[in-house]
Amino acid sequence: MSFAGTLTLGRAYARRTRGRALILFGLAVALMASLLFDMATGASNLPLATVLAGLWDPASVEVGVRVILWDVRLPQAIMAVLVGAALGLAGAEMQTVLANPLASPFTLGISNAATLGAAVAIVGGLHIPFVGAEWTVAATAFAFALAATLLVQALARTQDVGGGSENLILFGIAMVFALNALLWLVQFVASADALQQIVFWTMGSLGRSTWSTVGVLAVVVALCLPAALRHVWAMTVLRAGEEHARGLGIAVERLRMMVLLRVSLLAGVALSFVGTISFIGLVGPHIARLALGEDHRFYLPGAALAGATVLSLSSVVSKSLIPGLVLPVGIVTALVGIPLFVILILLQRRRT
Amino acid sequence: MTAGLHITKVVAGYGRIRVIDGMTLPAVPPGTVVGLLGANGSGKSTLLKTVAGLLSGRGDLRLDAHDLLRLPAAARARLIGYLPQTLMRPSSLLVYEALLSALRATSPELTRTQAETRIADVLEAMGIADLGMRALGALSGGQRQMVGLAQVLVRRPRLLLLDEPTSALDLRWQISVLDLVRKETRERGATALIAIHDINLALRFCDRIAILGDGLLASGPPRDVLTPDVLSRAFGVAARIETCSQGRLIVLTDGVSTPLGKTVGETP
Repeated sequence: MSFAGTLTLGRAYARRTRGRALILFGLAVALMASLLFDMATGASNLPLATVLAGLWDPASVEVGVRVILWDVRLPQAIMAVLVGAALGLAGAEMQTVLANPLASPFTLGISNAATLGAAVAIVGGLHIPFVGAEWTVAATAFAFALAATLLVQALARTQDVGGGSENLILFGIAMVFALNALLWLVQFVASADALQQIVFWTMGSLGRSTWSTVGVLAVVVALCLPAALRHVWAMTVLRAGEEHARGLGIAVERLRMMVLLRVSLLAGVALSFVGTISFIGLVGPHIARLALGEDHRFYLPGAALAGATVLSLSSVVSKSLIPGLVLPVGIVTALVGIPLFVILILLQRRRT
Repeated sequence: MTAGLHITKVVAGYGRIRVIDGMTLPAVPPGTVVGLLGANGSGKSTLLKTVAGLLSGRGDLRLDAHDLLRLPAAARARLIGYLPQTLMRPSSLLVYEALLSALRATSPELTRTQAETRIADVLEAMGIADLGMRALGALSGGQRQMVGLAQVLVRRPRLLLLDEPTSALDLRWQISVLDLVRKETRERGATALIAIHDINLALRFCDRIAILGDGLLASGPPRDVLTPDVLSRAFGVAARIETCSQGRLIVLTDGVSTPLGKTVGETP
């Protein structure tokens, strides 16, 4: 009896696992396709064959195409993938450790802090020693994001009654409002020129991407993803309940702190290069949960892949919606993200 | 020190509030199921959390040769299976995954087949094998409570700490779950500490009863411990202990004693 039970249940789960691996593979294929389309779309449309030829052997295409492809399209397209992956992964990890499906880099003010940092750098005309002018805004945005995360954590830690993640979320929401007020203050004193720059920054754009910013973010994602995958079982256990996880000897507080530091690194660096991009950190994890469940071996990479795919597709849309004009991608993600999010929630409700 | 569970002069609480102040329980030999009874707030959950390592406590806590308070969290968790009072969260995690992740997080040395066999065996023994591929969010509260217990049993801990494991279960499952816990505890020579509100269930399934009130009020075999006097001191009720036609003890409560010494409620 028990032997037969082992086989059937074990087999059923193995089948489910194979299905999920297949879905992950499908997401990766969709992402590659979107990446190619992203490179083909733009002010001058390139045929896919030319894109492929230009990527395979740059010398085989004419100089103009080569420059467009390698110096403009490719860094931007890869940036879209990396930012989407960073925000998707950050959102997924946050939703687990905060036990809240609404959590995203926006929830605890990480994104608002990055915006404030950028605004301060723009208005104050900051120059950081040894940091190039083009990096100053990004560096300040990241520093503010990290500081906000640490401050929220420090505040939550003063409440030692083991209130779990509620205190963290409450302080995070307070932080969002405080940071917004400070942002308005900075905008109020800003010159018309600086104000325009701030507004443009908050719309989020892939247009600022260069090979060096792509490289930095690639390193951050390459470090954070394996670090996140080291804790897949602890994170999966956490989904069943914090007390259950603590009973299994999992240091939940430490796990939460490590995750939030990782999230501020992922989201802080990503947003500092491209400006405010909303909803990817929320939509990515929800797509992954719906398609892959919450075994974090699949859920975390899935959220990164889904985030990357959605942002990459948004980039395609931002270039093809109005011919000859590239919309800031942040506007597109919000416009595309909200209906997508609503559909996902409706689908989830129907499932349970 | 002999085998089994030793709880000596344990102090624990929340922040500045001391819930347990120097509690000592008589040594519990392996294979024993201990029922923790007591009014709300008497420290049953606090004691379980302290032994489980969820609350920091002082005193002496020993399981077999292990000094629990000095053991690293991971090593301690391998010995102990703690079922919290709160039910598992209704997420989209599958029942199978809830058990698998617990095994993987605490016993990474198990092979895939070993893990699969253990999960199937425990779900089978509990009679919930059909829930294996269901999501926690698609289960009732009672079913989630059983999955929580399955997550404890699948790890085969030396010490089971169960905080009201039957609070969400219907009559049939209350009995079958406690029966299984007693069987597992005896067969594996483990020790179980169960916080429970239903005195008659405790009478039926526990080898020993410990009654908490202001400290430890009484402890020992159910027949010796459960007296009208102890029940009155622990719960403020007027109660009788009767023997049913099958020879089993049952506790009947007649009413609630008031500060004036009167009894209110139905009296026969």
